[in-house]
Amino acid sequence: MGTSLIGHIDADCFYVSCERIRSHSLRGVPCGVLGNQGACVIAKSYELKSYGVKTGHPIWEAKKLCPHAVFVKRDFRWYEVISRKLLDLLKTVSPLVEYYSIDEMFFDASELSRHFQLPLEAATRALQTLVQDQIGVPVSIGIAPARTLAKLGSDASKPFGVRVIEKDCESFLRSQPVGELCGIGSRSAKKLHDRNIRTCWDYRQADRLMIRNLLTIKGEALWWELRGDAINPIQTSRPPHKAIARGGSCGGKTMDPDRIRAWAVRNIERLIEALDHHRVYAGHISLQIDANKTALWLGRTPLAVPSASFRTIYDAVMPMLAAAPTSHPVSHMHIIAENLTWRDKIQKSLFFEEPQSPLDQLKRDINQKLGRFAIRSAETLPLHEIYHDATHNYDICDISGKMCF
Amino acid sequence: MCTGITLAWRDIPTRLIRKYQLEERIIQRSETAEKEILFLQRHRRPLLPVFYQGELQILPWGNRQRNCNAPLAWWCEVSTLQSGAWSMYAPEPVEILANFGLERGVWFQIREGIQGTIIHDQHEQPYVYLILQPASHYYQVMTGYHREPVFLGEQI
Repeated sequence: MGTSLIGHIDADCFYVSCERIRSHSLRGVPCGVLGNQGACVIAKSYELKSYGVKTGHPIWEAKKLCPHAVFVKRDFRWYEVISRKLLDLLKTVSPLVEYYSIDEMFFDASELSRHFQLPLEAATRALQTLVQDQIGVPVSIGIAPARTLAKLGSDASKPFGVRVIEKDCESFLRSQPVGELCGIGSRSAKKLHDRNIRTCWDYRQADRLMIRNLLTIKGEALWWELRGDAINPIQTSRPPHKAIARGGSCGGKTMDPDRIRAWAVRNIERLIEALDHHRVYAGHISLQIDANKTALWLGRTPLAVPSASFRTIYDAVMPMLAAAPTSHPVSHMHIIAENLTWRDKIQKSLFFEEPQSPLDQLKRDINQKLGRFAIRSAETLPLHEIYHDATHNYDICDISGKMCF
Repeated sequence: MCTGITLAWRDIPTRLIRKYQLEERIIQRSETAEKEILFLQRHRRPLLPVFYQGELQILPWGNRQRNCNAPLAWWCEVSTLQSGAWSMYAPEPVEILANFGLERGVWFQIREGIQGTIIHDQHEQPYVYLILQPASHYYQVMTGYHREPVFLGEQI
């Protein structure tokens, strides 16, 4: 669906802002959110940024740069809750919203003025205030005829700014280096610099065919977008995945068959959780076993009917695991669901079991209420290190919509 | 472990701030941040804010004097407490109030408080001890120390 105006809303230092919602004592404090292991800064407040602390800095460097900074343990589930609240709020003021990432969303801004009964810029500020009051998170907003311009506008107005960009926005585009464009990486920027294209305005004024030759059709799309012609529409639903995989490290190399089987079952449970989240069934199940990150063995089993049943996937994985060579210690394992089918488009069968049994559904309901893996297969019990230290959160990357650290 | 804590200045009654001369311990991490009162183990007179007997009190943090019969320490291992080794002191549980904790130069957030224990010497003078436990993987990486306080309502 086309729209004349696209908005981009981007939360300012989102993880820190989420922490400040539930902890007033963090307000104004130089604050860093630490990653999965507690070693690296994955998000920082503007106060901490002013001391030179960057995302990815290890904590021992960050504490030297800012000795009075406070570090907070990440809580991606809380950030996801706030993100969904922001999405829900945005849906009340816009007919179309794209969930771009946990802290960024595109929306159709054509109704914004009418909704707030204000001119466009004032309406955008009203939206910003509404988000601040109702969600508690400061955001920056860019409004433009195309999404590239909208994103450029919100990025340039950070923190807590608003920018409405007209189709003819020469002075603004002249002020923006070409590397700020979403989709232009360091290699592309170097290619453009070699042709003396340094600002977004230079990019817009460049020859379209030259840009296409240099940066393919994606570069050309950016060229059109900078001219205010919306090429990339707002996507309200993500295209279906080709495959979903769950796995990773086995917590060190092991040849213990009980531990290997326990990791396989753990990964099956994680995979089913992901299939539930994306509302799909798997047509094929693959098992990949690695020895020291070198693919050691790959097996693939088609399922009789698309399924997300624990018993079905277990029955597919275990024979593959039994057939895998046992001569090398296993370091990594992945279970991959392929040939995915939307759940609401599945053809029901009289001759095979349901894609999910009542037991699967009961397990999912209880785990949603009491926490992940509150109910789990007893075969995963040999993985005592997972259950011993609840703070470690081995499977934290499974949380949807977040960047993986 | 935890060698220092802070509590928001607004959470401590003025009479206590005056009584214990806590003004000299006020810190502010930025112009827009709240004022906090600092309680360090290495202070000449180490103190802790605790919720005890239904009110906020400022009490001595551990004991450094050899002439009283309270343990010469400022923390107690949870396993030691559970083994009954301190039962002769009749320890009572107490809630240590804190917003932030300090260990090896790393300040970290404390959401609800820290579990402590309180004992009294022969003169009925109270002493507060932090209760410690083996650190989680996360805490150990964050602070580089293998023991952590028993946090109330969370596990860091």
